[in-house]
Amino acid sequence: MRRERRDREPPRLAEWVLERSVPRGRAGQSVVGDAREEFQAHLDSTSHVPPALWYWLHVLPIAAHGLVFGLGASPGSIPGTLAAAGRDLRLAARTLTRRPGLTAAVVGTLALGMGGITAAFSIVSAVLLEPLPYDEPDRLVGVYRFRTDMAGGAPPASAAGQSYSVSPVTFRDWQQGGRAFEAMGAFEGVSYALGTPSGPVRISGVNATSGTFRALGVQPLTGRLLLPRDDEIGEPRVALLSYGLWERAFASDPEILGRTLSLDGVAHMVVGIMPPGFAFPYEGVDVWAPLPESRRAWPTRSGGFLQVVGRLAEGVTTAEAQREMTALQAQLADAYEGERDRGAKIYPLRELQVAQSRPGLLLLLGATTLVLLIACANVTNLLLVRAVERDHELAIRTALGGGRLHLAAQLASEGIVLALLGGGAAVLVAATGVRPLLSLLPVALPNASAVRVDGTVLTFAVLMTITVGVLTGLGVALRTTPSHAGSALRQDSRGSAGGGRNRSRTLLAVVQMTLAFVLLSGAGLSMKGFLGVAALDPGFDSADRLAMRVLLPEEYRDDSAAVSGFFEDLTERLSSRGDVAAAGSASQMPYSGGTSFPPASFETADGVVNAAVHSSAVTAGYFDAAGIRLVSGRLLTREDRAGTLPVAVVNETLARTYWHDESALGHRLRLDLPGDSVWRTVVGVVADVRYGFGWAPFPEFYSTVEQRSLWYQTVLVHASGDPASVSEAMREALWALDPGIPATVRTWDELASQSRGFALARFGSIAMAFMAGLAAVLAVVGVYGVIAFTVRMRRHEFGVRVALGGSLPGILRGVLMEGLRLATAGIVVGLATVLAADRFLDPSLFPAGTRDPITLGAVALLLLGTGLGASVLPAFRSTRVDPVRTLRSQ
Amino acid sequence: MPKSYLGDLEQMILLAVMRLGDEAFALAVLRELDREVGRKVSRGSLYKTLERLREKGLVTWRTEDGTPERGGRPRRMFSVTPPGIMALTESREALLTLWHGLATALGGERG
Repeated sequence: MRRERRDREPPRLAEWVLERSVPRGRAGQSVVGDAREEFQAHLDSTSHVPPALWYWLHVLPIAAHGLVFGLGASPGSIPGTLAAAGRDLRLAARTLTRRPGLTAAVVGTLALGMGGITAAFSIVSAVLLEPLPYDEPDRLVGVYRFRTDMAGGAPPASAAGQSYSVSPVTFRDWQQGGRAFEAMGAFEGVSYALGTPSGPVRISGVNATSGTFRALGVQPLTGRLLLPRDDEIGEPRVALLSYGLWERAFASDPEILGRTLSLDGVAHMVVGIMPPGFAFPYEGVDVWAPLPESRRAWPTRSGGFLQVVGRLAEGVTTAEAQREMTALQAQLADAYEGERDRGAKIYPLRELQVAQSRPGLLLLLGATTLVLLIACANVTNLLLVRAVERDHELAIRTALGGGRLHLAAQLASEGIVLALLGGGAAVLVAATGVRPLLSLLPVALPNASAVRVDGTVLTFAVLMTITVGVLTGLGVALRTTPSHAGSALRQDSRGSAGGGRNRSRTLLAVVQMTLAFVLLSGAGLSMKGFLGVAALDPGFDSADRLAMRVLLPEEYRDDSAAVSGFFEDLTERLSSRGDVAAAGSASQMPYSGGTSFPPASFETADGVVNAAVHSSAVTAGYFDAAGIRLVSGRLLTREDRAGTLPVAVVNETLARTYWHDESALGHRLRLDLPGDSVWRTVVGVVADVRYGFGWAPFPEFYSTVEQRSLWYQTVLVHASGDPASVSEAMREALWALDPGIPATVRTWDELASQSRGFALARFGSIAMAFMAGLAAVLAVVGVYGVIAFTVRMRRHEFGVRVALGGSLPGILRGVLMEGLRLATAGIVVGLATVLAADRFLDPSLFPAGTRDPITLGAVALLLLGTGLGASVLPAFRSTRVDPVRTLRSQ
Repeated sequence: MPKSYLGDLEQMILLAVMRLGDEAFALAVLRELDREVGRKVSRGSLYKTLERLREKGLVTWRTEDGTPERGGRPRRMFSVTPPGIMALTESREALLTLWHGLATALGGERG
């Protein structure tokens, strides 16, 4: 594979650095050769250090030796020209070891700041920058069908993956008509019951046509892929295993090919094993199988369930393919009623996979960048303070004829040495921290398994280190070089704070406060948004609710009486128990079973209106079990069975949408599905239910499972007794009816807290809060540093004031006011920044925008307190100035 | 001009080069020092010291053509020159002279 070959080579940048730091000629070349030989030996060893990291750690010391000490520097080589810089660096290193406390503080600050951004970048790099792990990934696209009669046209890529599916009939037309494609495949995500000796286990599967694998251009680890003949009806069922399932469930059995396994009770022959890391269309798929016959034989163009992936033919652009698909879809619309008002839209596959994670990841990168900036400001500040302490030394050196340029270079060297140390520590922080960080992320990011500290990330870290080093070093050098040696000497003897440098330190502290304000507001706003959404009425009651997803095996599915009988039986058995308050089941319920928007028609005052609305088939007990409130009319009952008047219960949003102020009761609606297009009479209206975290309610109706038989249901039980024994009873009741169906009972709260929206929102606020906390701590240190330093430099002045009868409280107040002034300046600038940022922010991350006076006010107060707190200790010190000693020291 | 003696790393590297004979390239020297006396030398120091020894004329090197695993880059094979052997001998004698009579005091067995 491509990645494999690349990994056998050392990182190119590292080798380039090494080549430039050794002498030219065969001697230098032999050093590079030695490094390569050792790299090859490392690859074949059992070490856990990633090869790229190992190579960098191996090469940098050699390169440093070459640059600093010269490995036989010849005139004109880079080592020769850098010899002077090497001397400066050595001197800087020696100077820094003399101040271990300061050095540790600076390196620690930089390690945290740079480590955070490096970890964030390694995630961004794998998820957003790495090409998809397929051959020529730029030619891979997803093709979706969308309604042209809805406002807004084709959906954005971030929404395309959720709905807009295609039926097999349409897919076959596309496949035959799509000249722009080299291969096209269709697939649907499913869930299978895998038969094992210890009972059935639920696994994640994908039903796919053989074209899917041709389009991706993948190869199996062993065995074969799905072939065109597997797409034919009547062929024996076959399956491909994921590497993970093969390891987990079959102990990597080398004889597995040709054996059969039971998926939903149907025998499938194992024909291939996919390589580790193959995760299509998402992480965690265990098995790939051809579409079952009932799905392939799906008769209509509506009610699609397939997603389509294609590989563009050589030299065809996405735009050309889009034009072809638009034309093809227009022909279909002319020919078939079911294709009217339907369009086809092509998205690059990569875009489909990353569109949803991009805003969150960029926010993470942005927040870590701010933290790094604060860390840099802190370091510059610390170095400035130190430089002032050395004013005297520098002034003497200038007076003795030391060149300004040389002094500046030397001070800059200190920044660079510190940045190098910090950068090294940051890589370690990132390498050890990124995995735990990812495991906190509850949602599988695309390509998450590829997140690691690799060559790209190290290159980023090296460039960042150089930037940070030059910036902090230059900042210090520019501000410190004494322009008037004489005045520096005089100032030193008086011991007062130098004006210009103090201004730049103050400025830095204000910048830190500003950045801290921005981060804290961001954290506060996203936390508030999260809590606000969490406080929305979901429309159901999830307390003491236990849920069990039940997918009936194929032999039940065509027999609607068997399906409805199964679920009525099961829920009635459960509700007759003493420790169960209510039991029911639903094909779709919040946080379980997804959503379903079949096409439907409504009789309204303006005639029949067509629309896709959410609908669910339920047993009579579902509303009680879920705690869904009846608004008017009646709920569904067991009497609403197959032979009686078809009825429906609608939610308030649907009633309002189609019948406005009128009562919905007595109006009629119907599904427009093959074999299900009877008119149903509305007999009741229930309260709205939110199906996902923070989602708005959508128009929805319910019918009984007798009148609309759906074989996939979530059984929901409201337990009044011990949940453990109820959940045991749920499994037993299911297995009493059919022991071949897997049963996992979860609480509804558990399902809700693991849902994608909730988990992402929570992770976002936690990550922001963490970063903001870090920023606040660094800002406090910055403010403290400035004020403590000012107090120290003004000791002499305070001593004189006390000696002349100045009041201690006056001095104290002055110092505290200085802290407040810094904080206020930072808050004002920060507030302006946050308000200005309002319209640039992604509304999915900050639904309420940034104009929230309560959050911003609270952050401002917090920072004022922080500024005050940071100046308390120095202020207290200022009052303990002994005037006699201060004056005598002159 | 006063005589200058070899540093201990210089001595060790010269001795390792001699022990390795025809196999004395940089990585082999590193491994030899680690294996025989447990001395871990950084690559930077090794290359630097070898370069210093070459400048003093105590070692010399020739190159062998590169192999694929070295990315086609040459390999340097070191050998100790006659002045190098002389310097080693002088250092050894100087040390032995100083050691004379101290062995008992320092817990050694022989003088």
